[in-house]
Amino acid sequence: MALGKEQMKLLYRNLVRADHFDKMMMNRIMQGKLIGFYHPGDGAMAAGVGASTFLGDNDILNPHHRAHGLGYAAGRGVDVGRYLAEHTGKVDGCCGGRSSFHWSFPEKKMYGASGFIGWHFCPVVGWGWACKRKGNQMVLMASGDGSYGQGGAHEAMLFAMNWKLPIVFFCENNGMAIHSTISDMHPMPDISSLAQGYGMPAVVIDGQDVFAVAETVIAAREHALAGKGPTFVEAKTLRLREHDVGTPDLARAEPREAAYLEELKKRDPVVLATTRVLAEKVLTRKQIDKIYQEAKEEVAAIEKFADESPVAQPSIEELLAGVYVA
Amino acid sequence: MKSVGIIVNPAAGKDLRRLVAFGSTSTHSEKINAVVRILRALDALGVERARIAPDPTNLGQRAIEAAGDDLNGLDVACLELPWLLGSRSDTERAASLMREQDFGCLLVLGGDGTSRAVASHCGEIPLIPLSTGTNNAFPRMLEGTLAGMAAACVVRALAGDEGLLRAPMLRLLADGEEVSHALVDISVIDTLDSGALAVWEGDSVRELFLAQARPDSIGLSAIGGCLAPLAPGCGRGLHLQLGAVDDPACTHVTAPMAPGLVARIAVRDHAHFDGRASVASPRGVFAFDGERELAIDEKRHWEVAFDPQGPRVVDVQRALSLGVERGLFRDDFSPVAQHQPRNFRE
Repeated sequence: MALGKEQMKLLYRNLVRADHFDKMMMNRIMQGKLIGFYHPGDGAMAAGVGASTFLGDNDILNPHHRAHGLGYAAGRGVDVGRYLAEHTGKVDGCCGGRSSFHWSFPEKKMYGASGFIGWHFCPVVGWGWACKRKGNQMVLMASGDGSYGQGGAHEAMLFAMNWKLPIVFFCENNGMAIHSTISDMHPMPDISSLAQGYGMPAVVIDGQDVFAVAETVIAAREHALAGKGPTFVEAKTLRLREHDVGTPDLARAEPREAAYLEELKKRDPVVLATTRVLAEKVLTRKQIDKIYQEAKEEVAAIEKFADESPVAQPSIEELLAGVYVA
Repeated sequence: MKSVGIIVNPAAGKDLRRLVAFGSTSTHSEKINAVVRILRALDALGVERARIAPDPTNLGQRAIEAAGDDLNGLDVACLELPWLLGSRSDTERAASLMREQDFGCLLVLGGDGTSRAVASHCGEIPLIPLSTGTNNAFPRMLEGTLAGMAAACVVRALAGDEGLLRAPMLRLLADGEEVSHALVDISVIDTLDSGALAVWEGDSVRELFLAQARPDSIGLSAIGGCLAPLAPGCGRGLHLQLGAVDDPACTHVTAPMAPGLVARIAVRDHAHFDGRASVASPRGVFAFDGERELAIDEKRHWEVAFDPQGPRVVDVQRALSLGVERGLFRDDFSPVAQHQPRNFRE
């Protein structure tokens, strides 16, 4: 299904917003205004935006740690003020300021990242099973290429396929797992080739193209809701910066070449999308300027909200009330 | 002896049509195997030098490692390109470099889009396009070993334009100036975006220009192929205007739009053309060889020109037959002197 003009406008707006949010987080961690880590998404925000913008309200969305799920948050329409408050330990944070980047927005059916890469595959099978029982609901599970080295990934794909669960395994393959290159970690460069072993339909797309990602995920969602089972979508993307701020940007033990990273910037998704919407007359330059201005104003409002929120100081009883022991 | 080039599109055969149709997946490991088969055939038939276009996934290097010690005299390596972006520009730069280095034959593994990218930059190097894509009208299904043997025939046993065909192509003109081209089809799609590039919905196609139309192809060109096939070398193209499927005035054609996706298409009008034909659709997106790419600017006058002098393509069966005639497969073979190929445009 090809995208219409209004869908393209929405995707472009969300991409610009997500890019501004990522830059906001970078600025704040450099200024010491975040608690915990930040794993920058610079140059790789299109995949999350494209994958999440046209999901249904009932669909379950499980983002991963890159840009702390901001691309997905922008597409899903979560309150980024509460997201930032969470990252600053404030009472108005979406989890009461206790989680840093392990946030979630249950009211949006959006459950965030754990500190353990690849933890989420098995819970996703459970969510998928629940969606199948309830009907007209699916799961989009995002992950990076590195997480497919975990055994749970294979167990999840096996169960998802055997039970024909409505799950889209959405892999952002940026070719890097912290300091390891994909050629060190996987025998084949396409993670989607793993899905074929389970008989799962798999596609590889340009993760820098927000429109291509959206169109593909719409088709994958239709596949899931039609009861045809899980699919695997691999979005090829890139990593312009270090894995997380404060860690050296190394490939194996060597710094990545600056000239190479400069070349990669030509594939910045915002640049590519801007060229596209102008060429296809979806937006005018004036409309684009307005989108940028609104994104800037939104960031200012988000920061004001988070900064004015009181620091969370939960009591022991409040903390224990949030702990579940099976 | 001239070198043989190999260009593999690592992304071919993996797009959205695995979800919306029943396209097979062309995996990396299968592509590596195909390159190994090509290398072994080149080596067995005495080709001295082969170069593989590099790609970010190191597919060529993996194939060389897989072929390993089995190769005897073949000097094989990956071309050196300064940067790889994982996009079409990598393919185009590799084809340009092979043209500058005067390669004798170029094997292209991919779909119609890959061949299009190579053909626009390889000059007069004869092509052997092998299908690893989804819809393939230009490349054909061909076993890698035989493709390698045919390439060996071209560089060792054939001279000039022996065993070669000239494929036609289409050129898109805006106000008389060429802006793009296609090897098989240029279509106008009734949509605004180029999205995931691939075209598979027949009812989204408004207009279609074909350089080839064969009933044994899959994709947009199959619409023409199932209605009014073009004989190879006929020297003209086919222009179709499509209508609504419920329009009784249209001719309805059943054609394979994608693997496993056989659709009923309404054709309002069709006609041959041998020069230029005007684009009638006022808006939409142009797709080239089945990939959406360029929005129509309604202020410009758009035409499609049929050019019978497209890329040179190896007639594999003919090349192999000539190889047999010249004794390439016998121990007592002596190579023919290579001549500069005649420039067809002169």
